[in-house]
Amino acid sequence: MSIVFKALSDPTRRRVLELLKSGPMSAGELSANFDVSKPTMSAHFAVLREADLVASEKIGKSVMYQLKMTVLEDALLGFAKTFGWQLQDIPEGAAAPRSQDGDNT
Amino acid sequence: MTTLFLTAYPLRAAALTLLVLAIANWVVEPHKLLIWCGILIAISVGCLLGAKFGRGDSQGARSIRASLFGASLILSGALAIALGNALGLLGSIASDRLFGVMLGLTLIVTGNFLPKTVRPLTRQRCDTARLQRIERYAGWILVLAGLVHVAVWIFAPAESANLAAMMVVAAALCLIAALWMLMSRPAANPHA
Repeated sequence: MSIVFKALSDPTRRRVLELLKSGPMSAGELSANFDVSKPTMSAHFAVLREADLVASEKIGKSVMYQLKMTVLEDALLGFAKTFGWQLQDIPEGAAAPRSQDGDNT
Repeated sequence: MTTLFLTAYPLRAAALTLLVLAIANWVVEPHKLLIWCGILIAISVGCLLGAKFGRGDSQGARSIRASLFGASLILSGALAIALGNALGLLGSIASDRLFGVMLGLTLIVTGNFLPKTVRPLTRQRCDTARLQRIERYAGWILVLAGLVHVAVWIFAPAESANLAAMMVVAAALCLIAALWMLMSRPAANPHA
């Protein structure tokens, strides 16, 4: 469960989950909504996959992401959004491990 | 925690508990032989299914193990309540209330995991976004209905709890059906 809290503690990852509520999106489409580098986005995707909050699937040359949240996790996301949970004392690089699989965007 | 419940060990423990409870019920109430035989057959079928399809670490095997574990928990709860009732530890009202609470908890767990079921995008022939939205709303409705169901069976007077709980479940199912019909309709084209 702590891995879910860690995943939900970052505003970028919360925004990714919010975007995925409208339907499955490719890594490129998701990245276009953020002003961060592709490796950073890949790291965020890796954390979300590790927490089992999203499912990824390679279709052609792009990686498609779709939401995979229980009602409880959805409620936690709502709480996190409302109260603005953040990892205050952990640097961004440490909170988001590097992706090993290299997402195609 | 989730991965622990998806391994084979809790499933074996649940099957063993179920077997012990079924035999205990048989000993206490031997005249209900047909019911206990049916349950023992169900346990055997569950064990066979688990042995044949629940092996390995694939998504399908995990799903079968989780389903069998859930089914054995529900059946164990029902058998424990029946045994308590037969031994005079639980009155008929307390038994009814416990059954109601158990049903409510089943609704909560089912609703909670409903939006988590993900199918491969390449195999889907319908609008995935719409289907996921319907599943998410249906999950929330089932969880809330389950919570109300549990509250009704705990707090409502015994004579009206059954009707009230049935109305809660019926209302939730009607709401999900209405949602399905409304959301599965294609959106109107504003340029038409």
